[in-house]
Amino acid sequence: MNLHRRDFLRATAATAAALALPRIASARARPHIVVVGGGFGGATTAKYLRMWSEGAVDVSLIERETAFVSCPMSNLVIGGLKKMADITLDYERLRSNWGVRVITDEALGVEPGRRSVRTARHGEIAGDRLVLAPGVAFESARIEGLAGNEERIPHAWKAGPQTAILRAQLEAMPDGGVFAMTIPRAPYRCPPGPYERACVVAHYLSTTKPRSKLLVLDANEGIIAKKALFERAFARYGTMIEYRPNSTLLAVDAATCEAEFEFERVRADVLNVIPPMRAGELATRSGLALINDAWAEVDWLAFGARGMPGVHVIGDAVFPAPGMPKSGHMANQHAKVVAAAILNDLAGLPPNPTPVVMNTCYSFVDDRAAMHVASVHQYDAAKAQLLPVPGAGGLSEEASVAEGRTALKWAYHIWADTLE
Amino acid sequence: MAAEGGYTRTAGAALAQRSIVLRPHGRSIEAIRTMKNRLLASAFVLAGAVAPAQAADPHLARNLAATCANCHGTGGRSVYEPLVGRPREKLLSMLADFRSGEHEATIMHQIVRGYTDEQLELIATWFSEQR
Ligand SMILES: Cc1cc2nc3c(=O)[nH]c(=O)nc-3n(C[C@H](O)[C@H](O)[C@H](O)COP(=O)(O)OP(=O)(O)OC[C@H]3O[C@@H](n4cnc5c(N)ncnc54)[C@H](O)[C@@H]3O)c2cc1C
Repeated sequence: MNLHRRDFLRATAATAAALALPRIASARARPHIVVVGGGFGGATTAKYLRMWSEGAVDVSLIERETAFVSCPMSNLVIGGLKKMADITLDYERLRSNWGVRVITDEALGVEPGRRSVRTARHGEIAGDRLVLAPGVAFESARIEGLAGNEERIPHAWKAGPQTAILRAQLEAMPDGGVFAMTIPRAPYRCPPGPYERACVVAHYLSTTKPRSKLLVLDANEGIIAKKALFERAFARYGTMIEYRPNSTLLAVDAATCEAEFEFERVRADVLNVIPPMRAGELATRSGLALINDAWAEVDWLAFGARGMPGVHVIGDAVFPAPGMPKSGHMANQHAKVVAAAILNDLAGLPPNPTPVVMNTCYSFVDDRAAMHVASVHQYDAAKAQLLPVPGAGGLSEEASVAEGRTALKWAYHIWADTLE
Repeated sequence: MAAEGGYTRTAGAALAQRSIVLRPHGRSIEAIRTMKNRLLASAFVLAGAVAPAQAADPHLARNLAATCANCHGTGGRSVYEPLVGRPREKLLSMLADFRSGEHEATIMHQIVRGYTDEQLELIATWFSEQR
């Protein structure tokens, strides 16, 4: 059953690591890679660096939290279908199976010249290469009245205490109450996520508080992912879900639980504001080159940060290539490209000139049925970008219970591939 | 919410097993080769390296196979949908059937179309050689 442990033992018993990476052995005994952020991107990078190097490189993973709480499936917790414990994992197997040095600390910034990361409690940690996977930061300050009131008006867009708060608010809501959620303009983390949340919240309300109302106030011109499928899913809840596009949130009032838009003011019993996002604070603190002053600029062969040799950025924090979603699946795929590129580089080889990444995102529409969107992205040398392959990927024809099961298996697999 | 040591597998397994009422094209090979060679050549010129240009990355098959891990487990070692150690021909014929639609699927028919035949062969060979 413990497949990964077996894998690791096999790997360490294999031919001497020096054979696989001759340059490393001669240049210095043990290269050290420092990864910041133990989410889907960073944790996968740490594991694959250890696995693919057969233990020949040391890996430190700096993560501020002691637990890994999965955003994927966290909407099910909000809808009352799962518990926090079901989506809460830890870093133990990264340590025991793969020998990753997991450091619980806050990274304060990068010193690109010294190739090191400044931390709150462990001083400066230097590496031969740095990989930054800080996820997203929430721009609460762009919505008047929101900053400092995130417990009263939770986003629950980073799974953890916020998820539990929103669930508790929904449970406390009276029958006949109003649950209002706001969606920021794209790009944001997990394009179909807000619409999935609307569905599972509506499912909960329809079974327990059927006189309630769910307002979905979207800054975009329309549903931005799986549109036709979500329109059908919303319709199944009759008049309970009211979807309003072109609704840009301007201000909130935490005392009265009101939200102000250009043309209307909404009062809610539960107000779930998903704020605009940008690359995690670490990107700004480290002086990374940003596109639109928000997302890190990288090359698509090695995810190298522009203008910072030896520093790589992956996951939600990067400015996406065309058609590339900000997803856990995609962050996990970025991780494998960057791990391979770093190990090549340490061995004196160029990065793989033909990387491929792929994505699937499942969304639940009720307590059992889900639907997917999938894509495969190949490197286009002329455009120097990872681009979706035309004619590949696509959507479910409709949400189904069979895909609901697949969605749960997907979570099981990606958690294991990332953390075990 | 605090996770105890050794919680990981339990959380994942529990989610997949109980729950929610549940049981659990493209470019021509030639074009890709040319692209590869061009890229490699320019990389070596830039780096001023003397190493001879290679046809492809030495870890190409491993890297491609790793794109499958999110649903088939690290190294294809999923307990549900394992790929590890399965015969190459069997894997290739399944992939071909997904592509043609002969083998009905919820998602694989869409994913398989994103890979070239050469890439699928590398992936199938890699999994078949894993133990
Ligand atoms: C409700 C919801 C549902 C979703 N559903 C899906 C889904 O079904 N499928 C899917 O593929 N994706 C889904 N996503 C998206 C997915 O969660 C993200 O795309 C993914 O988490 C991105 O991975 P990442 O590694 O870039 O960032 P994260 O997973 O956010 O990881 C970043 C990590 O870095 C740490 N960190 C940040 N800054 C510092 C610092 N300075 N010092 C130390 N540590 C730091 C954070 O604590 C965090 O652990 C969903 C998201 C949400 C919100």
